[in-house]
Amino acid sequence: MPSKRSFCNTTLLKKNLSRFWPLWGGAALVGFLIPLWMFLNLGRYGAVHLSQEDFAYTIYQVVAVIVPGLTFGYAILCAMMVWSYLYSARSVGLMHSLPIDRTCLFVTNTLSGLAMMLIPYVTTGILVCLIALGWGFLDIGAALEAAVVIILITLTFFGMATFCAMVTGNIFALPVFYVILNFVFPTLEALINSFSQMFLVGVTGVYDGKLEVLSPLMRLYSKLNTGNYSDEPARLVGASTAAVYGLVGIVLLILSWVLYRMRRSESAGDVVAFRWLRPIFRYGVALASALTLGWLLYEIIWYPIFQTGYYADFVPMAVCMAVTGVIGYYVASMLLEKSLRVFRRSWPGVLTVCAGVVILCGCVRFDLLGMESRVPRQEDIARVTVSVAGQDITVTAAQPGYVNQVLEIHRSIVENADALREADRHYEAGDRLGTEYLNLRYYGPKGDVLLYRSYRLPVTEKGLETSGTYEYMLQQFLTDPDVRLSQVEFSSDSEIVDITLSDYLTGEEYVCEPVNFESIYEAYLQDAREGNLSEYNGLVYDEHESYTYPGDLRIQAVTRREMAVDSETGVGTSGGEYRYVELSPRMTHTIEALQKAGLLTNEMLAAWNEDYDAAVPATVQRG
Amino acid sequence: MIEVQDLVKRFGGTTALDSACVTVPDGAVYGLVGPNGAGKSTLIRHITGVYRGDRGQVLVDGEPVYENPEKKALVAAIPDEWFYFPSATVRDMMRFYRGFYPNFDTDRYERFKEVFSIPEKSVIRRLSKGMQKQVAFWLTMSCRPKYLVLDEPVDGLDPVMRRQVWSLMMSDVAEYGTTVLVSSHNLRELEDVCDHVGIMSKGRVLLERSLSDLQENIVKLQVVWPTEKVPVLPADLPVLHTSHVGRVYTYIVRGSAGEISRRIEESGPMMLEALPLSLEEIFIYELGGEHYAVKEIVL
Repeated sequence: MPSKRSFCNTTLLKKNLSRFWPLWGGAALVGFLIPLWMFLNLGRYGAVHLSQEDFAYTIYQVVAVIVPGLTFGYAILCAMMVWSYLYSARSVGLMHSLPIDRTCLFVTNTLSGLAMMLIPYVTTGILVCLIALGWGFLDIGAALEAAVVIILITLTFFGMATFCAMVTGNIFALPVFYVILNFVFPTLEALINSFSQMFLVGVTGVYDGKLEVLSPLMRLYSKLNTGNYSDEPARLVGASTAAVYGLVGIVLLILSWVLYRMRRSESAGDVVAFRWLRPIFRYGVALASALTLGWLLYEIIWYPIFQTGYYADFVPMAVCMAVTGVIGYYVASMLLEKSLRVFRRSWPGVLTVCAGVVILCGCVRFDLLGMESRVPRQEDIARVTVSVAGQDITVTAAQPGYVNQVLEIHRSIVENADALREADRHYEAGDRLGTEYLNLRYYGPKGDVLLYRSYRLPVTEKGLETSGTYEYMLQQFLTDPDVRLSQVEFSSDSEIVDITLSDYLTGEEYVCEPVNFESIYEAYLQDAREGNLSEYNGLVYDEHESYTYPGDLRIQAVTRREMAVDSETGVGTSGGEYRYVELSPRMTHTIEALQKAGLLTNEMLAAWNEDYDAAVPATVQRG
Repeated sequence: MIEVQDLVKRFGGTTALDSACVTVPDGAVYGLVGPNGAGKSTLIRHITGVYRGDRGQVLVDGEPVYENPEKKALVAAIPDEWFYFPSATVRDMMRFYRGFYPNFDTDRYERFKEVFSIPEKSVIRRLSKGMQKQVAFWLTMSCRPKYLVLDEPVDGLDPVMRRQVWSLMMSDVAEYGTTVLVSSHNLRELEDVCDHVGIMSKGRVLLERSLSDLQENIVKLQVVWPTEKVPVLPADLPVLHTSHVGRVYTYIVRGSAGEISRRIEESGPMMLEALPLSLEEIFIYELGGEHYAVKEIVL
């Protein structure tokens, strides 16, 4: 008669808990300090100002801020304990000769690990809840929600740690693999971005977190929060993220079980437990070494002496990466073979590393992946921000003509990428007026960044005069009256609530009567249309633009929705949009309107003119 | 019965077991002998279900032992390096074994306290190597296994304790029909206790037979020839080794003593005497053909 199959061995479970009690007992003791501190404080001061809302908020804060990091660190310690037997031939010999199968061993050790992780949380949580109950501010719903999220985070990190424990046979490699697994993808993204930046025109090394989703710790920290507690009831935002990662943790545990069944006892002591994983380890280490140390070698040897301009040289970089890639390959081989004698018959691997590194370097340098030449499709763009020449201009999908204009400028730059690289390498003043920094940031409908590019553009007189060049198109765009107007105009559902004139000579501020809001705002828009605002004269530097009156105007407008909120709260106008206008003699319409409104007196204007004339050099014509 | 059939095991580029075949009959005391690196410990780890072979199979009572808790419960082993938890006492380890082996005999464990004279509350890590080995025997034999698998079991034990341990095992064999598979380099000791022997070399089992068959099938002959000119022995006589001191020649020949003596008699020796071979001698001469002849090293 077949015997009943068991999935958990109580002897082993008890043995694990009794063997490793200092770990979970110590953690529980540290956790116990929280309810103890709470109890002593409440005993002394009482809970007069504490509500269920405060309890919920605090517990959510703990879950969002403390639990992910704490669990991340604690999970690897628990995994190192329960799976430690896999890393010594003696211990694995005993455990695998016992009359239980691998599934039972795996389940029992997994349950032991999870128990060790959860015991400190459970004891601390129960004590905190009992104290809160005693003082009457327990929010049981929040406590249960927090408990569920803690379990999910525990599953996530213990699943990851167990997965790492299965692929290695060396206890020292386990925490290293765990950290790598958690951060490898964002790190790789940051490395490749930075690497691309060294070769490609416009590509930035800015880490944009596209692969953050593959790092549970980073993602949990960016998604888990308590919302806007001052405006709405306390809530735990991002619990669904924890649920997804909890599921991933379960999947990793299942995968670990499969690996455990495949795993051979004799792999104890090996850095990588499975033969089929060895090439991944070897070439992974080689790639990481090439990307980091190769770059460093280039920066030390080539960059200070031979590189001209901003962009890196392909061949020296490829050589540096190949050298360090090969070193990485040999280091990985030594770790795998547990021997320094790994050089014989290694030439196929070395050739593969060199070829791989050259291909990678070439792919980036010659933009085979299309990073440099990438321009978003107009239909995908919700808005685009153009930052250049001290101006930040935003155009939206509702202005298709302008979006198209920006795309044309972008395409023109991309088509001239080689010329820009060359110009950067061999700087010649010639008819160059200067260098402008153009940042283009495209957003999708959900507010996500579709593409971010940052260009260093040489601006020449010839370029400004020749139709079809990026300088010409950029100048046309920046000096377009409607574009200028769109940047200063408030949205149609906004209402002006304040106009204040500041006089820097006297330090006085003059608040405008609401009856004059409209006329001053209209005059300001008229000056914008006519290009009288000093900030909107495009790429052409006009020296007199830098001189202004010693006074400015602050215009505040709020939307009707914001006004409604303000009237409910009765705490005054808090939100809205502002325009800070530096006044100058060119802004004739605004000056006139301010005079008519009685804000700007003749005496003030005379004093401002005197100050302006004194500041502007004689060589500069007055605007 | 333990059957190892055509078992192959490779570690990287090294073949540790090369189509090894072993049959350990029920109730036998089977001695597994072989030089260092022959694959004895590897074979034992397969029999205890620790290793999975690349090819072939290991059967206990007709069923594969790997991942088979029912069959593994019948086998208790003392490996060459016995593992205990670092802070465990003898009693802790007893509780651990008791939780896994269904036949664990607590009364027997209690009775063995007197035999081994080691305080139960001793932390095993702090005991001497020999005492740790005693603890291993204490616990393993308390499991009342049907198959007792021992890898270099008495290393580190003093002569008195060795005798006591063998005596305990032999009484189990006699009383309960326990089957013992033991690997050892101490051939003199094995000769006293084993009834079956398997000789391993380079991952293969060269021969396995009952000890009596083995001893009957190989003979040492001391021959004194009448003249200094030694007659040529028949070409088909399977001589494994020849040596001489003066006119006294020693031949190790495969075959029965009677038959071999009769054939050599035909060559007219002055004197001929057949002597039994010890297990150690059989081991050395059998492995001589495997390029394992003992080299006389002079420094």
